[in-house]
Order: sequence, then C-alpha cells, then structure tokens
Amino acid sequence: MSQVIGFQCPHCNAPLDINPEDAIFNCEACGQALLSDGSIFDNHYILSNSISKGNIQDIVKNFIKKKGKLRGIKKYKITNISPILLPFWSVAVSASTHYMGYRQYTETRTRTRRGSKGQTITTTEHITVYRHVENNINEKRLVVLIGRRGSSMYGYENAKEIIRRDFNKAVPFNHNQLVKTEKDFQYLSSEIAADAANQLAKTVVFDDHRAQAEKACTKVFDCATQITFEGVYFVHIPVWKVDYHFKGETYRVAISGNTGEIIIGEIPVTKIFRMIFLSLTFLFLIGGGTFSYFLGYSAVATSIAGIIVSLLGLLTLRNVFKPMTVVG
Amino acid sequence: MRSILCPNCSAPLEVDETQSVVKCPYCKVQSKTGKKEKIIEHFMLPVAYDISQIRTELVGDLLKQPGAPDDLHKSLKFTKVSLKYYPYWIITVHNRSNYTGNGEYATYSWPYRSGYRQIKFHLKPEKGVFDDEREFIIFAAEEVNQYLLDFQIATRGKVYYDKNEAKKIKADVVQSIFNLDQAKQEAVNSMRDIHKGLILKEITQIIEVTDNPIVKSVYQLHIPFYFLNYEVHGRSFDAIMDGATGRTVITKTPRSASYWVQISALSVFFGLLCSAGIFLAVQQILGYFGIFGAITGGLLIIRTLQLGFKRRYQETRRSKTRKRLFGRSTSWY
Repeated sequence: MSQVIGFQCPHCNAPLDINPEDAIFNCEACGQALLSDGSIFDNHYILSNSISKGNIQDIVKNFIKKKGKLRGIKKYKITNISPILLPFWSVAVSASTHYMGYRQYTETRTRTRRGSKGQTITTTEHITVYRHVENNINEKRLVVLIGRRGSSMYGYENAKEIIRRDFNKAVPFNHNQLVKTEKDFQYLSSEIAADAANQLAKTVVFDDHRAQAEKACTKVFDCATQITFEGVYFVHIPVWKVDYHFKGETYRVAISGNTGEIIIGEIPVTKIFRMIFLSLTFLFLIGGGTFSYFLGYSAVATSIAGIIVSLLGLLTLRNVFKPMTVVG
Repeated sequence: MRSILCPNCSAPLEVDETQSVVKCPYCKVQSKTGKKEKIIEHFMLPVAYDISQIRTELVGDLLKQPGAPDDLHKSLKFTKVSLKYYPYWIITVHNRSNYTGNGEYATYSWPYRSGYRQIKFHLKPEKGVFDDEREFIIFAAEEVNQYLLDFQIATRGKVYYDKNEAKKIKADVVQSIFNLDQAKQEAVNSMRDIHKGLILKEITQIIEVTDNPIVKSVYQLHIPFYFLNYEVHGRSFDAIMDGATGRTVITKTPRSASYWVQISALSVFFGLLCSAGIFLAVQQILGYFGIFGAITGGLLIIRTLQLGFKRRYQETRRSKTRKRLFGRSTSWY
C-alpha cells in the first residue's frame, strides 16, 4: 500500500500524535513546528514566560486592590491556576489603498446688514457644500489573528493587543528553552493553516481600509486595495488563567505570562459598591437641586443642571445594577 | 476490513473501510490510510459538564446578578432537563468576483469657500475584482433559536462524531437541515451576498458578474446544549447552557422579594420627583426650579425600570455590527 503516509517528525523521527483540530502541530519530542502535510515550518515564535505560580498571588492581589476599590473585597481565595500557551498568527502586510468619493458638509455664513431704520440685522445661513475627496492609505502593519476558531477561551481575543505591541520581543520557539520556562503550560496549537491566515489577514485589512474610506467620504465612488505579504509568523503567548472565589462565586483573571500584566479580569460587585453608587446618585440629585433652587429664575440653568445630573445618574445607576466589573 | 502495513515498522494493521487514520499498536506511529476522499468531516464536542456541574455554573452566574436570592444554592430546583446536540457548519470560502457595470463619479460647480455648492452625478463604465476569503458559521437546525444563533460557539476539544456517544448520555441529536452540498451552497451564497454588497458600493449598475467561489474547508460540528426549566421559591424560569464549556447561553434571573421592594421604592421616589417637578414648573412656583426635578426624575425612573427589570442574562453575544453585515451566517474576522 503505497498511499499510506506515516506521521513521523521529519526533524527527529519520533512518532507524531496528530489531532483532528490542528492545522499546525509540534513534535512532542523536539518541539519542531510542522504543517499538516508533514513539512517543517520555521517561523514559529514565542513571547517567553517570565512569571511563576508564586507571582500570581501578588498580581491578583494588586489587581483587586487597584481596580476593586470601594468594594470591601478582603477574603477571596485563588482556586485554580491554569497556564496555557495560546496560538496566534501574526501576518506582516504592506497595504495601499486608493479611494475617491465626495464629502458633504455645511458652511455657516453670518451676514450683518443695516435695516431700513438704521438698525443692524444679523442673519445666519447654513449652506450645504460638496468637496471631491481622493486619498491614499499606505501602511505596513501586523495583523494578528487568533489561531483557533471561536474565541471562547478567557482573554484570548484581548491578548491580540499584546502581540501587536510586543511582537518585536518575541523569540524563536525553542523546545529546550520551553522545558525550562514554560514547562507547566498546556500547549495549544492552531486550527488555522498558514495560507488561510494570510487570506484572512488580507480580508481584515481590506475591510478596515474600506471602513476608513467610508468614514472620510459621504459616499465612496471607488476604493481599491493592493496587499503584499511580507511574512507570516506563528506566535505563542503564555497566559495564566486564574479563577478566584469570593463569597462562593467564581471570578476569572487572565494574566500575560510575558509581562505579568492583566489581559482581562473580573471583579465582584459587592453590596457596599452598589450602595456607594446609589448614594452618589442621590448626592448628585441634592447638589443639582440646590444649584437649581438658587438659579430658579433661569429655565436654561435648571434644564442644564437636570440633564447633567441625569447623565451622571444613568452611569451611577448602571454601576448599581451591573453583575460584575470587567477590566481590560 | 482491509490490511495495510505500517510504513514505519512494517507491522500488519487492520483498517475499517471508512477509517482515515490508524495508529500502529507497536511503534505508535499514526498513518493516513489514503481513503479520505469521501469522508465528510463531522465532529462533536464532548459534554464536559454533567448536570450538577451545570447547576453550579448556572447558580454562579445568577448569584452575580443584583437581587438574586442568597439561598439560590439550595433553593434552585430543576424541573425539566434536556440535553440536545445542535448542528453547525464551519465553512471557509474563497471567492473571486469580476464585475463590470456603471460606476458613479461627480462633477462640481459653483465654488463656495472650501467646497462647491453644486454636485452632479454621472455614470461611467467601470470594472474591477473582489478577491478574498471568509469564514462562516452556519446554524443548521430547523427550528431557529435566536439565542443559539447569537451565541459565540467554541470549537476547542472536538472529537470525531459518534452517534453512540450521544446515546450514552441520553442526548437528542438535532439533524442538520443541510447536507454537505447544501451547507456549502449556503456559505457560497453568503459569500456572494457579501461580494454583491461590496460591488454595489463600487458601482451602481451591475452589468455582469463572474465569480469563482471555492470552498476551502468545511466541517460539521454538533454542540451539546442543556435546556433547563427550574424553580426558585415556586416561580419558574428557564435557561440554555453550553454543555461543552459550561457557559450560559441565556437565562432569566430570579430575584428576591426584597429586591422588588427596593426597585419599587426607587421608582416611586423618582416618579414623585418627576411629578412634583412638573407641578412646580407648571405652577411657576420657585421659578423654573421644577424643571430640574422633572428632567432628573423622568430620566432616572426610566433608567431604574430599564435596569431593574432586565430579566435576561447572556454570557457571550455576537456583535451587532457583524450580525448586520453578515446576517444569519457569521464570519469571525
């Protein structure tokens, strides 16, 4: 049977455990990244992990202390820490878009003339004008895509930002290094293949440039984008997903293993917090009421005070009713 | 059954006719059997949360809502539980559309300050190409469930579909209304709609479009959902939970009696403030002081009722712009 193909690592010959999900996978013995046809893929990078389980307590403590003010959160307990290496595609593209359209806007003209009885009459006119818009968008950029379909893992979508910012700090993926600094991490591979990542990146840039053109014009007549790919990189970033319990409920925090910063995190909303914001609503009411009382002769002043206090109230009431705070 | 030899150690292996991958029991090397042309990729997500774990997840989410009864851990009782597998198709489509037609351009006259006061539109022949690739998730159950449509599905941890697995845990399997070709057609149609929308942005009259849609990858995925009816202190509620990830698709939120008292008190207060304000303003007592009360009372009572009566809780939701752009199917990027 000649059509039987064995799955063995072309780098170290170890048997490979393939998985129906993965479009790119790594040899368990040597860590070499391989494409689904078994060929070697070398553009594999990682933002190394620099924190350990011991740091997690402090990071979470600081996070709650800093972002969870006014809530009286004291007794919470970290119940689960799971480190995971999340896969991303980072596609370097150089894109140029030429667009053309028109823009419609208003010019205001104020004219002063002398009336028949010698008094001055001021008239204001609003005139609709049009202008031809023609422009180029030229940019080199790194499009970051998540390596999985659906972003149901906590903080996955938000971690894109870290890659966009810190991709220049990424180092080539090295198995030996991995065993030292990321040995506790669960490794997750990509479901999306390299050429699919290229195509999807193209669509992202294309849609984005068109949106920019549409923002600049009232109507776009023509918009054409040229894209050149300058490299596709498979990037892993270490993320610590932490669960903590507060009053019997679980809240989640995702921490970047590279910098120790919070990617996204949840903070409980306590009764104290709700009461504080409810009291604030009433304080604003009293303040605005006093102001209006003394300026009761002016309909404008009382209306403005009413609107400002209402807008503040919309925000404070939102805090009174929300289930929890999400930071990130 | 047929026999092949392991390409690594030459051990004889027995393979089923439909099997696409085989693992050698001796050297652990997996091999493709080459019989993959007719196999539809069909996966399922295993049910990772049993009913008691799902209860914990649900109660956890409910307790975070303001005014949830404190004793929910004890008082929540399931009255009806059903587990159903719903079908989704995950399809990547590449399309290249060449179009010809008439596109608009404008000429301007009557200069005024930074622009022109008059604009005239003209048509000119125009042609162009759209060439891109997009991914679609297609919800393929006959009954349209808006909450399942809006839910951000996860595909992690999928395994090859096996009817018996579903039977073992007494889960119903909802069959896809599309077969492979229909699902592909559905995705191709969505892709064509997107291209048509884009073309209509470039030209106003389409004369001819030739396209070449290619389905790059396709698979079917069955995802388990719990449909729950439950009671809290004699009142009935319902919820849908994702059995694979434990996330809440949708639930109504039970509230304690004291919560309703507080909401009523707050509403009555703002309501009185609003009416008092209107009264004072109309009667011209204290000048225009009443306007302040009328505005704040009116807006805040609306806000209180809007937030206080919010019954539904959804853990994930697809963004509205995506939905507007892509309708029933969706693309991730």
